[in-house]
Amino acid sequence: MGRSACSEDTAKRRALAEAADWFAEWQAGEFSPTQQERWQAWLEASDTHRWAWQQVEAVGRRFTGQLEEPERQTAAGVISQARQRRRGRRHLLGGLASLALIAVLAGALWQITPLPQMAQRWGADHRTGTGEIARIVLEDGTQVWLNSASALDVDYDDAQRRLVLVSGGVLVDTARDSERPLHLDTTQARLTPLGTRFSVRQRTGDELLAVFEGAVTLQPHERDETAVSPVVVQAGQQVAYSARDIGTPTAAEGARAAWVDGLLLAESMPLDRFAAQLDAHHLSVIQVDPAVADLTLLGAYPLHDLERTLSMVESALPVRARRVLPGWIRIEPTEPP
Amino acid sequence: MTASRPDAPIAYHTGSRSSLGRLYRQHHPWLQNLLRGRLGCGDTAADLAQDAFLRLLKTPRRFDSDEGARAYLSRMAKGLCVDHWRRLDIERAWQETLAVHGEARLPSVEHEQIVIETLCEIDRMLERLPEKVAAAFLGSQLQGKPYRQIAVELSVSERMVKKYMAQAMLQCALIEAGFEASL
Repeated sequence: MGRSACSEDTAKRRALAEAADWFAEWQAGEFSPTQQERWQAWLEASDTHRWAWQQVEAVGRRFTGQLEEPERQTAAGVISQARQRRRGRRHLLGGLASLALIAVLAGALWQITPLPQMAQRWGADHRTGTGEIARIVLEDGTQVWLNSASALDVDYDDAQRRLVLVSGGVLVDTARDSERPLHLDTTQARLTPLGTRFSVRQRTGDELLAVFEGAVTLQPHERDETAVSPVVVQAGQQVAYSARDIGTPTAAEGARAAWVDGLLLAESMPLDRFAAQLDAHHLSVIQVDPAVADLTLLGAYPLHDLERTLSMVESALPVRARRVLPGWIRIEPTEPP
Repeated sequence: MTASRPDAPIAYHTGSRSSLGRLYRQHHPWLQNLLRGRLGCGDTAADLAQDAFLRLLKTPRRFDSDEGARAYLSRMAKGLCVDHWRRLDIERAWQETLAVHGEARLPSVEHEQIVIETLCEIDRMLERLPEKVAAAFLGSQLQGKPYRQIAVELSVSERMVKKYMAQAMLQCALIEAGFEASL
């Protein structure tokens, strides 16, 4: 694809994002005459803008075009219900026994994504929203798990298999293909796995690679390869690196791969922070009584199974989860002070 | 097209019936097996396998090799399964909702099918969005709820609801414009 086609693509995507913003503004029902004028000016500024607005209108028609009023009311509930059922089916968790094995720390797994990365994420081939974990099976059988708020581009051709981590973190389980090498490019380095299962996660300033099986060759983008030989990170090791430097490898924490199984790991995590992470994954509102907010939790919890997580918390701490209303849960002290 | 030399690499062009026929003979058996394994139902597997080849007839594609065809077909099979399950989920949720609310059935079977098809399409577009984002969009677009009410229901700020709406619309518009495939 030529350069002009690429930039046209970018312009169209940007126009769609702007149109979506205008749409959200419009639906708020507070379009002032000034805003109306600004919107009009935006619309008339280019053909691409008009095209983008047509897409927005087309989406609107898809939602309501075929549905009569009473059906629309029912429809929202039907779709939520179907989503819920699907989520239930997706969760990969086995029995409680497996949880005990990986009750180790995982640091700040869910970090806040800076805005520029958020914007890049939208253009990527695969991406996840906050609190979402996605499993992707690529055409060669390679499996990729995208962590919360992450984005990945996939670029496969006859000569090579290239993955680009745009933001966030991934865990990769590679499939064998003797003809085409697999590379994972990140902002800091190129990783070349050698028949492997590994994870990489962007942090502020550096990245963390953990290898669980096989080995991974690590080539930071700005490191002089003529002066030093490439570093091979072996199974069981993890290493922090930047575009220039590679840190000293240490033992890999298996827990870094745990989010793949939909686990929320807590190591001395205060209850209110725990509840906030849980809240982000469920439609229910989860509140914590200030009296117990500072109690700390340790262990691995099934992120997608709210009932089980809550009963595990109840048995670990002197608290109970009270259903205030359907969809509203409050974690309170067992005995009111 | 492909019959030029006997030692030429095997290639298929599914717009041609003879080529599609060859592809069918070569790849239909394993595809149907794969689907049977996934769905646990022979009849549905047979239907979906037929669907896959019908689609290739309607929207012709070229394959340079058997591996290429195999990779494409297995991806397509996955998509067909996902769609099949989606439809079952939607139909079931629809029946249950009608039962719970004691609502009368729709005027005609045809209309009910259109409604279910529409719901599947909406569900497909929203699939990748997080729960609260999808809930905000559904509440606003289908139920006509104001942002304030949605904000209370999801216990987020109205500003956040506006963000959710833009996020959901962008996702749908990218699919609408063909920049992204829906799941």
